[in-house]
Amino acid sequence: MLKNSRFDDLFEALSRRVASRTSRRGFIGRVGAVAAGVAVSPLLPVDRRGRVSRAEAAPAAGDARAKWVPQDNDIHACDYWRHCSIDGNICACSGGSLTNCPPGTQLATSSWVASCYNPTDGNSYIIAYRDCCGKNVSNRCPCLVTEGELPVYRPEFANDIIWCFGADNDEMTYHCTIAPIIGKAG
Amino acid sequence: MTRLLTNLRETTALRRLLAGAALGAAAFCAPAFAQTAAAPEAPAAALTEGQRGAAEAAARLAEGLATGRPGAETDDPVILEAPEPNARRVYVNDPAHFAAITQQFVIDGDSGRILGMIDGGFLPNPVVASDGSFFAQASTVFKRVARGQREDYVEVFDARTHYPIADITLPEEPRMLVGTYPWMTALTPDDKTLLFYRFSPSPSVGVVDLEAKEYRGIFDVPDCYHIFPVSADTFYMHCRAGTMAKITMGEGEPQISESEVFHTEEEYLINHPAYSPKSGRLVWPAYDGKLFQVDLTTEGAKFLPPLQTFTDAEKAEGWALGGWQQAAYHRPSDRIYILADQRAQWRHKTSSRFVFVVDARTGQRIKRIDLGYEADSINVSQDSPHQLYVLSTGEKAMRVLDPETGAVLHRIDQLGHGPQVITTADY
Repeated sequence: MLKNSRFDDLFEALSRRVASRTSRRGFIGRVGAVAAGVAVSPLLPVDRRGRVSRAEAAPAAGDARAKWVPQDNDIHACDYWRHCSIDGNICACSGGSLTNCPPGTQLATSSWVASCYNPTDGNSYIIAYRDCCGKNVSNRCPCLVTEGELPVYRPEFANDIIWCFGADNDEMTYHCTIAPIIGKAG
Repeated sequence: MTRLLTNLRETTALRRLLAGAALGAAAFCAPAFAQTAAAPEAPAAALTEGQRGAAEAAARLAEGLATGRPGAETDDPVILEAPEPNARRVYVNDPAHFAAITQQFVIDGDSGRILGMIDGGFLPNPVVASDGSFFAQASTVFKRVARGQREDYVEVFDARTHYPIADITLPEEPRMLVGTYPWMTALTPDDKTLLFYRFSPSPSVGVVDLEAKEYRGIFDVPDCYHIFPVSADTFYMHCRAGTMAKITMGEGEPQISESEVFHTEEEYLINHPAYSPKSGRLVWPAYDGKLFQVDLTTEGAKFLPPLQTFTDAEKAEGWALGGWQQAAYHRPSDRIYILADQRAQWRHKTSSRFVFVVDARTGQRIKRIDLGYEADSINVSQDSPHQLYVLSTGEKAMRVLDPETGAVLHRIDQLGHGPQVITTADY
């Protein structure tokens, strides 16, 4: 399995190759965001058009199809604002925290990104979701939130992929997900 | 149950049964019988189906022994085979919410009965032969359940015995591990080759020769995803740029060419298009219900005029696709099935309660089926008249519907932990 540096090189080369073919799509930054992960994502022009979750309408009670409305109180709940594009299990429910993996897991170095709206300060932040790997799925606090989530051909915004690339010992099984901020979406 | 067994113990037949050294099973039964007889009585109505069956079998056996005709009514256990496969053989894959160990259920759509099941590893990709004669999966296991040495493999199963008839190890851990997408792994139309997708370290497609039971290798492709075979050596992929790439394999480097752009950047295509290798028709909805159709051949990709699942008024009311496997295509009737509901933007993976049926030629809506329950995946059989399969991940249940009336013909429960994908043969 590849470590982060080679993964970066791959996507850099890939994005340039494809971009050279299709100038109408400005996706270099988006590919770069997923490739470089935490290290450089804040510097990249992440596309955030239409992908910021904003609380404008109250959801119907218990309606999973209603507009997703973020809250800033309970990190264990799927509607916590940083979980705006999580498809998996919240690590804070299984021995980890909002930004750290549980004991015994392996932290992936790659990530997918989303712009999430914090209702408390009114700002949006870029979240680089990272998977904690090397154990079976935690099965605790499962969430399917897809604010701004894009199809697999836009992998940097796709949350169906097992993002365990770069985890120590090449561990690729999925346990849970953390939601660190890597920059302000502005 | 207890009363029945107590009575049985008082009969000569049962005493003979318990003492019958020739019947090995009876020796195992004896302690259980004694234990049960000592337990408080329970009403016969409280018997489970299994308990009732066991009691009835014991009674038949005892009666046979008492009448001096042992064996006349005895059971003769065998390992069953599934019936000959047909267009209504349905495979339901349960990724079990990203678990390292998973299952696939084999279901007879005619009877609504489970015929068997197979085990899988982490996020397996199922496929089924066009004539239903075998089914297979590309899968991944780890040496210590969820950690340790990884092994990717392709396993092929006989459709009747469910025994593996090929088990092919894939070197270099190549599979893309992603929530199960039906067309990330595919069989060529002749059913002789399995193609699978690799994401890292670079987009690639791997080739497995099922006839020779050998891994053939892997080659790089452009920034493209999904695999839609049209012949033994040619397949298409959908690329980030909004094009279709045609890839022809040969002795040397594969020949790759890209089509025109056929959808805009903001027209997000769902992850689970419907595709018929037999006709080459690819049906690919966008999040908002716009239906792209492409006829794929070895000659090229022919893009048909896009259709709409919903009217503008319906779109304004929030009608949009939602679920996991949200589209199906019935080739004989040229009909498209779409799983949809009213929803807020960016709720494209939450379940739906309606199936829209659209004429793939004219775009006319044929009907809207109000399911009345939450559904996540749909598929159809390819016979005529056909069946509509509706899977509810939350209920862990699949329903078999008459697509003309929407009537539920069967409901199959207890399908694992979180069943998501329905696979049928392109008969």
